[in-house]
Amino acid sequence: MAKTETTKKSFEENITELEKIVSAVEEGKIPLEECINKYEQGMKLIKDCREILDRAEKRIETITKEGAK
Amino acid sequence: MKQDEFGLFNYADEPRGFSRQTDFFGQKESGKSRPKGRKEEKNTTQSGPEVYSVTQLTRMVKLALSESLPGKILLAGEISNYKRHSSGHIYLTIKDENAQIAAVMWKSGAERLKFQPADGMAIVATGRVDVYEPQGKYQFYIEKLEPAGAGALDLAFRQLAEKLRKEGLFEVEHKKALPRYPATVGIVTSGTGAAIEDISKTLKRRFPSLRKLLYPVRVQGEAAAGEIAGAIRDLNRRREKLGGIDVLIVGRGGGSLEDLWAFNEEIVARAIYDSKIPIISAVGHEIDITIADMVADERAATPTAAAERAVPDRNELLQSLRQTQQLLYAGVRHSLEGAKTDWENLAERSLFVRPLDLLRIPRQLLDERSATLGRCFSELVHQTARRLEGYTRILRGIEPHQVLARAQKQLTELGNGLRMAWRDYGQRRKEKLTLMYSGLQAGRPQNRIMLQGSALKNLEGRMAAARGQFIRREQERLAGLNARLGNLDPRAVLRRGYSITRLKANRQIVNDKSKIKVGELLLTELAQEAQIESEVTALSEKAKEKNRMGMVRQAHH
Repeated sequence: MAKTETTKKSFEENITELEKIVSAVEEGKIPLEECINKYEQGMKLIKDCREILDRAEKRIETITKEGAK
Repeated sequence: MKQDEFGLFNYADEPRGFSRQTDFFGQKESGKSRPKGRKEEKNTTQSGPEVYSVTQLTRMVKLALSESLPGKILLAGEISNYKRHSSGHIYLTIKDENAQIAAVMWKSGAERLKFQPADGMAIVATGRVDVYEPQGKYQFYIEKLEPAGAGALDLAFRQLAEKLRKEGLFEVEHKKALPRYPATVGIVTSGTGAAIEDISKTLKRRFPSLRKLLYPVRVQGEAAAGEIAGAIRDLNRRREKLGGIDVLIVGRGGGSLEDLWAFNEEIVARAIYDSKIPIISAVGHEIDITIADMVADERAATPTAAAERAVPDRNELLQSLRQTQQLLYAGVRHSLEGAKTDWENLAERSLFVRPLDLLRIPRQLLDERSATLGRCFSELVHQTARRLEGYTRILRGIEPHQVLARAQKQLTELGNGLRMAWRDYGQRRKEKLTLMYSGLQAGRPQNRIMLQGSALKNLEGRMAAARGQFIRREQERLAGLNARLGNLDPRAVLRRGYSITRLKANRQIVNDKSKIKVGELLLTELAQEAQIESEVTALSEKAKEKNRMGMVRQAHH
């Protein structure tokens, strides 16, 4: 089994991936170990997304502040 | 004037250009002295009437005309036979229903005509009557020619407008769009006056940083049209050298039609049409429309309006920029909130909030399986225990100690019996012996006791042997049972030749084909913790067989 690569993907790509993971696991047809793997992937994606969102928010506020000068 | 002997006035002697009403036959009012005219030769016939030459007569007519007619006459009529000679002079006939008169207008006047005369046109001509001697006709010499009714200017306006419209100078397609944010505005107007002040003030108010180039020109009078046209062409020509011009305002303040006339001239119209720089025209007031207005790319009602049209209002721009900024901010925040919501929706799924739920079903399965397994084992153990118990009972039955005990008991009983017997016998023998002792000294009872003793020892030996045998047999039975119990040990399974196969990568037990691919590395566990590492070279169908315990075993090919 290949290891999951930590490439920088866009927010939308991550969300799409997350949706896939959640539906796959919720369907319940996946063996246990793979479920855990998917859980791990999912948590990583959630973390990445959260970071992207935080960064985006910071950037927006900085740009706004700069523009208001 | 002197009357001659006939009472006739001799008009041949009269000066020309008399500018008073005179009657051919009447008295003159002037007190002017008689200039010297050429004294014509008279026929020397004393008796008959005078005979004149043609020239003389013609001159007389000429004089008579100029004396009796006003020097300046306004003549109303209709043009016919209009002809513009190559020399520039105009020859025409002015007529009404009953009469006509030949007319001529010299080039100098004709050039200044604002309108184009044509046959059939009703006109009012200002001029005088004179005689054209070479042809013996009288003509009307036109100094000023005006169309009857509306006026020359109006007619000229209409004629030029029609002409240029036909040429397409007013076409909307040709009009250029004004630049939205010009950096430089050129202004062609009078250097002084309300127009330039209004324009300047308005431009400064709306956009203080704007660059303004004023090209002052005359805005009325003969030379104005030329100057205006020249200014437009000059600005076009020197556009880059002047640092770039984005739009022109061409115009002037209010005035009469004559005042504004320069902006109706063809030369100005053409200069505006040819201009590569967009032009806003602002001539006069709201109601004044000039040809320049029609050709220009845009028309403003007043100079102020032109300035407003040329340049946007800085404050309005800033305001709209602020609005745009707010919209932009709102938009990007909205995007962000949307993304956040999408994220939250996924992050709050139970998979991530209660991940341990993943284990719920597996655990349950495990519990059920282990319960089942437990039950099976339990069954097995019970069965085995029962068997063991059975064997134990049997074993106990033949347990050496028991046997020995029984044997001992027997022995003891035997011994007791023996002893009793011996005692009895001993007693009897004793009695006998005491009786026989003397006689049976040779047959010592000790020998018989020894014999019995050795017989006893024999028994004991045989007993021991039998005991040993029993013990061995039962040990063998135990061993057998042990062995069978041992078979249930998984390690025994291994020893029998089965093996456990795992994937090397994660030590996961392989129990079906779907878990392996060709080329993967496998670890096979054999008995006594031996391990084989191997690589899958081929996969094929596997045979299943169930044993009594209900476990599925696989035989690898």
